[in-house]
Amino acid sequence: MHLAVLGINHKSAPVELREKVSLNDERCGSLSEHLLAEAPITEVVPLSTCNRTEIYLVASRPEAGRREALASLARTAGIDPAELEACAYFHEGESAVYHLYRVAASLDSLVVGEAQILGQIKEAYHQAHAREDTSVLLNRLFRNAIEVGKRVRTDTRIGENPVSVSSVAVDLVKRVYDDLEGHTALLLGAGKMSELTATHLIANGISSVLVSNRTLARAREMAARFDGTPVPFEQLGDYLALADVVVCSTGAPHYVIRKGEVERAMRRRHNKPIFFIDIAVPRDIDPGVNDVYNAFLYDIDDLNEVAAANAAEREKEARKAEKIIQDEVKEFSRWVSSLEAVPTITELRRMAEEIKQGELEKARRKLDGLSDKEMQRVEAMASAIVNKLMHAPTVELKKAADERGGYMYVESLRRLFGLNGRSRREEDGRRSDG
Amino acid sequence: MEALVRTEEILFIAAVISYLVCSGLFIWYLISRNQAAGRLGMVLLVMGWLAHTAALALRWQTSGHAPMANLYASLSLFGWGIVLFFLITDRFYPVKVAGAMVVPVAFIITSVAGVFYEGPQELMPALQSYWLWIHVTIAMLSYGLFALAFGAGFIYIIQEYLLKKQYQNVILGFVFLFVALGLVIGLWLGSWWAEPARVADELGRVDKIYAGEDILKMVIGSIIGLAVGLILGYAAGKGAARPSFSKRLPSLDVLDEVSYRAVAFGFPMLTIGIITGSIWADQAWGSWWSWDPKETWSLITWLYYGAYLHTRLTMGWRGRHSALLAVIGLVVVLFTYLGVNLLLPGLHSYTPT
Amino acid sequence: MILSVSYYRNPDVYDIRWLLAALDVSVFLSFYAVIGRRVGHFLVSMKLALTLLFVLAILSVIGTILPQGENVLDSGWVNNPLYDFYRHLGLFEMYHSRWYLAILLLLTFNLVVCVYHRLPTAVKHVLRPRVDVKDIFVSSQPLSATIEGNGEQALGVAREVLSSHHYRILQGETGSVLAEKGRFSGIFSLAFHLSFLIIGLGAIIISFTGFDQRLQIPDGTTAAVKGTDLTVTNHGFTLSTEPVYEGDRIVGYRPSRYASDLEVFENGESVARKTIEVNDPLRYKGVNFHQASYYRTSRGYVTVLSVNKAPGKSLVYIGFVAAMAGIVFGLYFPHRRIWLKVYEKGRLLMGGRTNRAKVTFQRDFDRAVAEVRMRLGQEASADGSTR
Repeated sequence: MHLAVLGINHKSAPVELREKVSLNDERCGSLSEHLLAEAPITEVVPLSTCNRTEIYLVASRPEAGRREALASLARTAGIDPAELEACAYFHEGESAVYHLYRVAASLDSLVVGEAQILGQIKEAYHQAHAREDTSVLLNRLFRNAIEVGKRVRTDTRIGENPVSVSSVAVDLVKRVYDDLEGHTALLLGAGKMSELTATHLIANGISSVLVSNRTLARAREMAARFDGTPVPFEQLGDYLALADVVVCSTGAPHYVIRKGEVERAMRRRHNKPIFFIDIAVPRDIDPGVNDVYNAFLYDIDDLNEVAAANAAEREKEARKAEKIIQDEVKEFSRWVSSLEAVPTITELRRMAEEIKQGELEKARRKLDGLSDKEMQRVEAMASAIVNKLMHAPTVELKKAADERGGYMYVESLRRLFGLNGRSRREEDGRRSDG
Repeated sequence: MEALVRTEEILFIAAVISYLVCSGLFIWYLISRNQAAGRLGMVLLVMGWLAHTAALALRWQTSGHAPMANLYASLSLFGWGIVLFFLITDRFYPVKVAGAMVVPVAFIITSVAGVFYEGPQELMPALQSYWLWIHVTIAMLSYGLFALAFGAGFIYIIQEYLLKKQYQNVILGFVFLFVALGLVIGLWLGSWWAEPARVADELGRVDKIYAGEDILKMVIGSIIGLAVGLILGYAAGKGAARPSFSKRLPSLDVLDEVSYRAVAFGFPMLTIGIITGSIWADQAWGSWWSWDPKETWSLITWLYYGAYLHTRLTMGWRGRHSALLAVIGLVVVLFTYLGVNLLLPGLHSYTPT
Repeated sequence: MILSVSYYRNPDVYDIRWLLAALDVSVFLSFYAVIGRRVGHFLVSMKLALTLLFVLAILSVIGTILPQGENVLDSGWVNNPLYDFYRHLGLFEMYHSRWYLAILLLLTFNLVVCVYHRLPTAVKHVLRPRVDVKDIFVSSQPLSATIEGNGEQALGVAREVLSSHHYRILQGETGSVLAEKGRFSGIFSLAFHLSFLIIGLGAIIISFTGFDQRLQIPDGTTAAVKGTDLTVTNHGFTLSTEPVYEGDRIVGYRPSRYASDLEVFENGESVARKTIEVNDPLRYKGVNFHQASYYRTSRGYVTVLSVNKAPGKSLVYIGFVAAMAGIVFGLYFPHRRIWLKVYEKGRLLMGGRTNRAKVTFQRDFDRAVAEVRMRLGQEASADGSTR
């Protein structure tokens, strides 16, 4: 039984291909069903997000599993398998585990440290589990992966400092106003970036939004979108006094907000801070505004600088995360190797042998008067009992090992006979010997 | 009795040690954002504070009067109040990282208290009154609140400079703080090193006489303290002067409010402290106000914080100017509390007269 | 042998100083009026108050640094060539100098005018709170929120929520509702300010009608209390000391208790006898005999008594109580107001403001809004299930 993963992501494949290969829930189900119908594959979890499509599987022959997965995926996407193969990566065994852990810790993401991927993994696993497409191996792997993802988020600061310009801006605003609820934002001008920032602000609790634009119609339209109030561009100075956050991105060739206006507004609002975000190029806000008491001004360069510093911080945290992942991968490998049928049988037999010898020793001490011959007879009887008892499980286990869900027998056997702790030590010993 | 005194000592030392460890934990929490360090620091701080409370209670028990007759007890109470208010503030505002500023201050004050340790003793005649504990407790609690206002105010200033991207001012702020601390600690260590001659007059009044050599030692101590403060302050400022550091500090509106509320709670207490002191003086000497330096300085402190509140409540000040007033306020408080006793003669001195 | 020294507060000089101070203030104000400014406006300004507080603080600092009263006679300042000039400036009697008193007078004016200025608003907050307001007033408050859905229903829920948060609910005539807390905050704050007038008045009465003298009486002798028919006899001074340790070594002794056995005579007739200690004076007909200090001569101990009479003291104590109550209630219980109004589209507008502690109020406000939304959500779903 081998773990493997086949997939494409934002690094390996262009967006056009990723779009085609992307799987919705329904496609995931049919793909899994198809794969499980094939002989070598016993467990499947497909994972599909906007940046990646991956198929995690357990197969008796990994190469056959890879072929099947590639063919099915290409078929589902309606593309040439060769085209997919050129962009796909394939990992098996320990490196497949390592890959999933990295994905869960969002080290493999486009934005390192983003939080969404963990939820997506959870969802993908829960669906596969509900379809009963998973068994011992992938169950354990995905549950561990989710734990690893959580651990990386709590033990490192990987997700703490935002790296996109709009979230950096909101993060900075929250260092002035701890709680944005009850506060007002003023949006000046339109644009993707300013709208993104506004969305972020609203998601973080901003209660009311004022919108202004040179053309009133545009202002109305934006106001409707953000459930805000359009205000006339000419009376900007008056409305400045109401705003706790100002987001600026007009196409004006000159400054739209000047120092004097801000000073006046500041007096009217009794020095309550205003946070200015200027994402326009050329700039909309007079840089002198930053010198006004309790006014804070960040232009696009400032925001990019903070974002870059945060990204560097994330890189540093990513190294810590790698360390955690490596430890966890080792732990998982240890568990997997304990599930091999042959060592388990050996161990079970050795345990039976030990019990037999122990009991015989006791019997020998109690039964003084026995002759050598009689003693041999007793020993033979003990061996026969042990062998007969062990025969059926041994055969069944060997047979089951190559079937889907075979690990379940090994796992159950280990638990029933209390073989877990010992085997691990044995494994370690064997590894260091080798 | 002897055993109780020993227990008190042990509890006090336990408190001081826990404050030291907590200072380390909170600074580590500020630098690393390690949640576990913050939580552990909080738990340990509560335990240390409980030990401190027990030590003060035992002192009350063994001496038969409230623990505030000498500099040891008074400083100990001051530190106790600072920790108490920090713990209370932490319940209401997200300011745990301020522990990196407040707890070391509490540690320094309590450990200085430890240096002035004296066993339980009888009170000097003027202090033998139940007004003692009312007056001193309230005054000390107000000082504790002003210390908290200072801490929040200082962090406010740093946070504001960070958000305004004025990094050289961040460094300057740290240098100021460390140099001031270094100077005071250096001067104090110097005066310890100097071993002035002690002279007692015929009434048993003990006075320290500093010779030229002793003063030189104190000057050397101050210079070393200044230099160390300069280096440490510059290093700390350099470390803090980057955009991501502001993320680790509480937000401006919370800091502003904590600083203001500390003063808003401290000012009424100071008022009550001064009035109870006045009533006590009237009971003891028959004059409720005699322009003794301590009285005058507490009036100056009161005028100062009164002005602070007026700038805020009627002139709409907030932000850096208020924070700066709160920071300078602690200098006034400390002069009233210690400077007057050390530099100006009067009724309130802690050394026996 | 009768030995009595009275150095403290010479009443004759004192009266003139008050007059001089009053003169200074009126000259200052007339000068200000002459150069064309409005005196009333100036007197009410906060800037003046802050300046005066600042100047008062600076003068007080100088007072603590320079030797005051009799102490100057023991200091090197007497030999200073400008000693007389400084003395006339009042540097050695700082707190009784005409400048100090003039600042106090000006501050009192400022206080009175400010209180007069603010009184109507503070009273109005209590008696006639502003309940009827316009939509725009509600939504332009420092904190505001809009609750979607059925406005009238939301209004009812909001009233319940705020009243469970200990807000007082007032229903207006035009449909708006005011929920408020701590409406006496302003009154208490004014009481605090007024208490200083009371304390000041008490102090002035004491300084004009009372006295405060020091009597130094050797054992077994008698001294007269100036300005009364009383004499006081010291039947004996007792002093106990305790050692001062440094480690185990005794480095000196300090007094632990001292007391004088006093007998008071009125017109030669014994009227009271008591052994007084520092915190335990002898009182007779409003005259208090306090143990102040003691010193030793070659012939034995001399007790130092502080003998005083302060007829205005009850006024001072009333002022003290007013100051403590005013500041505590004024600052600890801020005035918080939340207006509720149903907007034309059927939404509920909520707008709140406070005079102090804005972040804490914001938290309160947010909690109230969230609770209203939650309850509304629950009710809506409950309605849904019954339908």
